[in-house]
Amino acid sequence: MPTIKLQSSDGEIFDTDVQIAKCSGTIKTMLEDLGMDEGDDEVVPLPNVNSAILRKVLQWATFHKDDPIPVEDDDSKEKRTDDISSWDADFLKVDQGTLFELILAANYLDIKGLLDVTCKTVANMIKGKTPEEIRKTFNIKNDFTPAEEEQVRKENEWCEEK
Amino acid sequence: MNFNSFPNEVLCSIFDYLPWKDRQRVSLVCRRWNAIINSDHYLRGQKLVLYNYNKAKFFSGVEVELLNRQKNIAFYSNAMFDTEELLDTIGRSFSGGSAMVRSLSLFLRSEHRLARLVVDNIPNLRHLTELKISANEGLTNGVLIDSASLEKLNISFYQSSVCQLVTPRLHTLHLTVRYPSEMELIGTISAQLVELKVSFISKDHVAKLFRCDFRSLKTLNISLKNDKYIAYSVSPVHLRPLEREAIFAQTIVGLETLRIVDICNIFDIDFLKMFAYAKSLKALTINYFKLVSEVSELINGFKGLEYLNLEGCQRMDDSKRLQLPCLQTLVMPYKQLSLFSATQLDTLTTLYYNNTTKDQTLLIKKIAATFTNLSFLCLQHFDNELDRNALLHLNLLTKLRVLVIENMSVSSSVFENCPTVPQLQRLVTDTIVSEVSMLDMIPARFPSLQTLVISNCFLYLILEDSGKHYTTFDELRRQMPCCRISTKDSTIFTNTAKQS
Repeated sequence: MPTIKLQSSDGEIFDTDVQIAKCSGTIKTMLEDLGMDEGDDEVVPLPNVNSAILRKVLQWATFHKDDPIPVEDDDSKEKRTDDISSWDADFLKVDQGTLFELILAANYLDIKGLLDVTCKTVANMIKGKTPEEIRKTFNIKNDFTPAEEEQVRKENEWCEEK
Repeated sequence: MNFNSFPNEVLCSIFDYLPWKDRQRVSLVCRRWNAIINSDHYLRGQKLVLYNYNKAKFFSGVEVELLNRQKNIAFYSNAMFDTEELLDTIGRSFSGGSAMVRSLSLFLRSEHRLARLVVDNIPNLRHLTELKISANEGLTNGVLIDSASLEKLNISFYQSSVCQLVTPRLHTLHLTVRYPSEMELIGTISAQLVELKVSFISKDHVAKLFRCDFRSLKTLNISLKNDKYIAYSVSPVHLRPLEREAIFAQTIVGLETLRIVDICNIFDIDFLKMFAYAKSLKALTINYFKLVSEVSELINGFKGLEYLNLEGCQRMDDSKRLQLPCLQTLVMPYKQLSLFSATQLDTLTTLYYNNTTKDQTLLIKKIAATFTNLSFLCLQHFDNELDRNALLHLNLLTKLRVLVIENMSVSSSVFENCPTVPQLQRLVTDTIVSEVSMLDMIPARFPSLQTLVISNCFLYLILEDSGKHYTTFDELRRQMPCCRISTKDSTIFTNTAKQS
């Protein structure tokens, strides 16, 4: 099976199936644009992804490599978060830092399936929480002045979902 | 690693999964999140509702600036609650020329200062592309809608009001017809319309539709209802004769989508025949019609038809078969399978099917023999329970990707007596009642399932011995680790509480 070499930011080389590597839109485009042949001994550098995260990403991609092309969802309006597969849910039982790095990696590597499922996981962590609880969960500083906060609160009162 | 090291686009894709209530809370977390939630990205899909309709006032405190940057605004307003503050703010925003509003909805009790102010300022709303006006009382001086940018208009007047349009870019009109003036309005604008959706509350005016020039029209949507409060008298002068060589017949040839929903059975067969001139028709919906042979003949005349929806129709005559060489999607009328034993439907990929028979053993066999290329099958509204042998031959549909079962009661052994269907990607059960053991065989029968939706289902279990094992949703998730499983609004009901 043809492979290519991916290099993480900390220098580790991952010998990877081309088919698996290509689930990343970024790598796919890179290979096509650069005209890299599978036999070449070249290394694809991924300066934004460290080895621990790249290992996780490749683990996800390997498991999902045979996923069929998604059937078009007719109910595209409402985005659901209750349909994470149990393998993915287990895979994402990681600390917050790792989860966030996976999101950044999925975004950088353009892996839609992984980005979707990680964003859903974070959205589920936000759902139903008060602003203060959200700040606590994600260690975010409240940088509003009390007046600004009141203003935002007021603006929200007129808004209604379409 | 911190949440706020994410780029905006990642934060957006996370917030996209939140319902509106949570987005409001999220906007209160910090300045950056607020800026994203209240950015154009979200305002596009969000509506500012100015509610001044009864004593609950949601208007007070809105500033001109805020109003200016909204893209989607709805007014619910009532003459009694016009306040100087409201009139002043709207006047300054809307006449200033910098209001960004693209979509504006007006729900009026009557004509009053606010209504007049908004309508008079429509020419100043340079970005306005969509307008909806509905009024409970008549607008005595009528309405002149003058807009260089308007593309879509939706009008419903409960009492007769004269409306004039100066709208060169208008291409979509949704209109509720109660009075002659509304038919005249269609007449003045018909030639520029690409889409027309017209709800007739009185049959009297339908015939006038066939005097219009529809040279640009691609989509026509007609629904007929009967409002008992409006005098109902069919004047023969209006109905006949229909002029077959008239402008309608010449201009309707470009029509691609036609939808007629006639819940009162009042749409005249002679009206229907006028559409025989629509030779480019690709999608046809006729609901609640009697399928007499003239109607079947008419349908067979649309040789380019790709979508046909006959929901609610009743079959009156056996002699006509459907012969549509391009048909891809069919929504079956009631009690119909014999009608489709014709072989000309092998292009069909999508079928919505309902059934009245008790024994369904040969159901799929018959479907597979007629529709060899189905990739989507929806079984819906069966008169009887979907029986234990209904899916016995499901593997005959070799190209099936999606199976939907909705709105009926389902035998718990329906999947037990079903062969393995490795090509199925998506299974949906929506609004069904069955025993919980129905779930047991799903993982084994559909090994490649990518999505499983169990929505609004009631799955029950009568426990005779309390130690009996049953499949829970969680267990289903464990058994199908690659499948995205949604169980929204579904319940597993057991009687354990009663037993113990």
